[in-house]
Amino acid sequence: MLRKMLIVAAVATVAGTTACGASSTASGGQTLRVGITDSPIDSLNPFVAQYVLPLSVMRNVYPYLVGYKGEHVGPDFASSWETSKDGTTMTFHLHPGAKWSDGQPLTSADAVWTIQTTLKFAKSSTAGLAFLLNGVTSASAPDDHTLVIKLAAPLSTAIAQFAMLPILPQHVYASAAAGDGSGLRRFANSAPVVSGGPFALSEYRKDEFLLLKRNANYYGQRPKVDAVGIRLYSSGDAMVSALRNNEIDQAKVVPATVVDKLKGDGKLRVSKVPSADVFVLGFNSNSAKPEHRELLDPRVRKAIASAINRPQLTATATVGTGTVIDTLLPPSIGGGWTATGVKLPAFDADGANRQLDALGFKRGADGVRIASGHPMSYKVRFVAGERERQFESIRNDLGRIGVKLEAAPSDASSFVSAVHGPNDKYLDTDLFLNNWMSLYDPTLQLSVLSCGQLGNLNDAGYCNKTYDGLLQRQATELDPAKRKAIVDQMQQILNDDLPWIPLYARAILDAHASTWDGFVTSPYTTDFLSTNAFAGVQRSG
Amino acid sequence: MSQFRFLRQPAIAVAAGVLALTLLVALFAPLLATSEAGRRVGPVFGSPSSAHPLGLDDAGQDVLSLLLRGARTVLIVGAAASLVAVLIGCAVGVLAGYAGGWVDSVLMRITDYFLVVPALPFMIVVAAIWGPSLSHIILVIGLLSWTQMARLTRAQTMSLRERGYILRARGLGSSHLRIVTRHLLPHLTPLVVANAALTVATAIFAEAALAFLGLGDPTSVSWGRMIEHAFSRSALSAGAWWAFVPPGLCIAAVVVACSVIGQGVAEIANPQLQHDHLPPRRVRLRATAAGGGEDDSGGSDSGRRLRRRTAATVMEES
Repeated sequence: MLRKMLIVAAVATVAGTTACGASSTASGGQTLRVGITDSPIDSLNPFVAQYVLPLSVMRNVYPYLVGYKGEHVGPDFASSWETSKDGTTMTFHLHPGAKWSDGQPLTSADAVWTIQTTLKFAKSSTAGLAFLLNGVTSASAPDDHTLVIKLAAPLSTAIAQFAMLPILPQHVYASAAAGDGSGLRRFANSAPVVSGGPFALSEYRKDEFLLLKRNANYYGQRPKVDAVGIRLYSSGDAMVSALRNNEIDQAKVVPATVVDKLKGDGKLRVSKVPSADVFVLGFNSNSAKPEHRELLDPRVRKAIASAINRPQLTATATVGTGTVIDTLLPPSIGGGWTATGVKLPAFDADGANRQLDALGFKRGADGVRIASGHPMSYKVRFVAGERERQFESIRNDLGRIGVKLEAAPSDASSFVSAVHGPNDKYLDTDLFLNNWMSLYDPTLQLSVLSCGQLGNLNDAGYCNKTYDGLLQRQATELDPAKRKAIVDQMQQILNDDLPWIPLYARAILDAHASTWDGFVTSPYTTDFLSTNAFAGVQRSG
Repeated sequence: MSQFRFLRQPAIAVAAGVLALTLLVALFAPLLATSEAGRRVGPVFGSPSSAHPLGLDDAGQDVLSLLLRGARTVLIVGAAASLVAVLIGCAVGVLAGYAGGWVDSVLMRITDYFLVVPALPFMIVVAAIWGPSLSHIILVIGLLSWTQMARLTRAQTMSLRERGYILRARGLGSSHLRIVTRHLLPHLTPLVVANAALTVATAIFAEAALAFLGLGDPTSVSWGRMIEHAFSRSALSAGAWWAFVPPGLCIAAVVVACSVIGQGVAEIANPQLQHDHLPPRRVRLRATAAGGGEDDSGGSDSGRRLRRRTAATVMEES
């Protein structure tokens, strides 16, 4: 269900959009004009939205119990919280006297309503948020500014889950939750939206722009800008030229190819932070797959991994801004989650050739190796577009070790079903290129390759009971050091079985006019785990 | 060499030269291209240098080598799609024009439907459903470009089938097949060739458009795809003009060359086309020339030709 949010699919939108200037609608004061490319808005309904940009809008519009400060969870609507000795009861102390943007009181009753409603329809209309309440049994409100959440068992990921759960205004949503709750999924949540966060969504035009105005009733620190206009661009060129022409003040995620040009412009500032987005080459790991079964052998996978020149691939794909990675947890998420001892074999095409020779895969007349009677020629599935370049690079590398790759591109909407194959049986696919965005808490990223996610998030058809056991254990292990050891062990298992060859993590490149400052970067294209992105932004000169 | 007379017109000669050059490049691309296909030879968007006169693209590949290899794809798509269009168009047009009656009505209604289909959106949809590959692109373009050909051949066939020699052949008991293959088709050839050249131009353009929209064959190098890659990595903002200007110029050159040749052939095959472009003042010439007296001061090329033709007709008839 989180698939779309996690796969940050860079799909070039065919239809060009000519948005009107986001600044035109601002009424005096300071308005920050932000441009962004390739970041679609699927919905503004918190039960439906899965893409990063709408989630970031939610983050700035709705109150959240807790939020991230860097990679650590800190207070937000809850100024403090404590967990009972047995680890199953969490008590949150909320800001007293808070109000929604329409003047209605914002109290623990809204939080209770949100949690209970999400739990009630968890199998149907609220499934989009229900995964954030895994392990939660109920919520109650002893008074207006205290929230008590009951857990089924101690849960190390509880706080990380609540950091993503918006608190919704009961008085707005209650009517949609009537009956079987199906109204919740249909709720349009069209602007203006009743807000409890730092900003209120006052205007939204599909594929064009969003206008966030400061919420006067916000319980926390007032943002310095009066409004933020976010304009959606369909091409990087259009966004960059808008930035140069002072039509926007900040460009989110500028193309890596233009960074050097922008750095040379004295009127602009460019920031670069490693992204939490991890690009991988995946193997279909279903042990029942009928063909090309040599790819199930970890030794073959290791040989393929060492034949790929990952540094060069990274340099081409990210124009030198990305980082080569060895595990699915990128260093950018912090917290020490990346297992430093887990390494992929270094680039060594000769070694890979020797390894495949040793395994008895002789080269045929055309130079392609033969494995149990068939040529080692495989299809690679990927989303057409930018990934073609990755594919070409890997194809050239593997061509040198006698492994032939063929492109099997598909569009973003059919990619997942193509990889899973008919009825999610994982029988047809050999290899695929995909990317996954890790949260600060590693559980979700680790769970992608669990048996429980077969047919859902799991793109490799990989299922390992030991790994699944560890996934459960780390989620309930409250001692951080012990939890970290388990997470390390899981990364080692993936390194041994190699369902994914991690390739690289790109960088988040933002540029803004030098007349503004106070921007806070995050490893996500737009920050959906904190309100820091716009909180301290102001005109500097 | 009277059939190559049209090459004496400078525009047509240049166009033929461009096409001949493209054809040579397409044939010998593997020998001419300095760097191996798909090989990274330097940094992303590396500037033009002596080793790489047209610089490097967004994957660090030599643009000149890609340009040379792309010529092959472009000509294959242009020629094959045009062939598909010619075959369908001629079959429909000749059948409708020769048979007439309800066959004509049915075929022309079908043609009308294809004629009003907005070509590019339809191509995008079909290419997206069938999946990107060279043969699909050729088929899609061919299937949407035959209507013009069908319309023209039908009209010409209807005119030809009432001519004396065809009526005589029919009177002598020639089969329909024989009449069509021996008497009709040879007279249609100039029209078909002219229109085919124009269809090649359309097809090349359509391929570039599809490739630019990301629906090109991912395994082949084509000029449209070069522009698409440059665009998707923001070559314009990066200042890497060499990644998109050369393929753009090449597409323009080949498309214009095909159009010029197509129109040149059409004019020679059917001199009446020139009359259509005559401004009213020159049309007056017909009366004066036919009157056989007064000289004209215009003296333009077409005016003179027209007079000569009129005089010849008069002489023939007298």
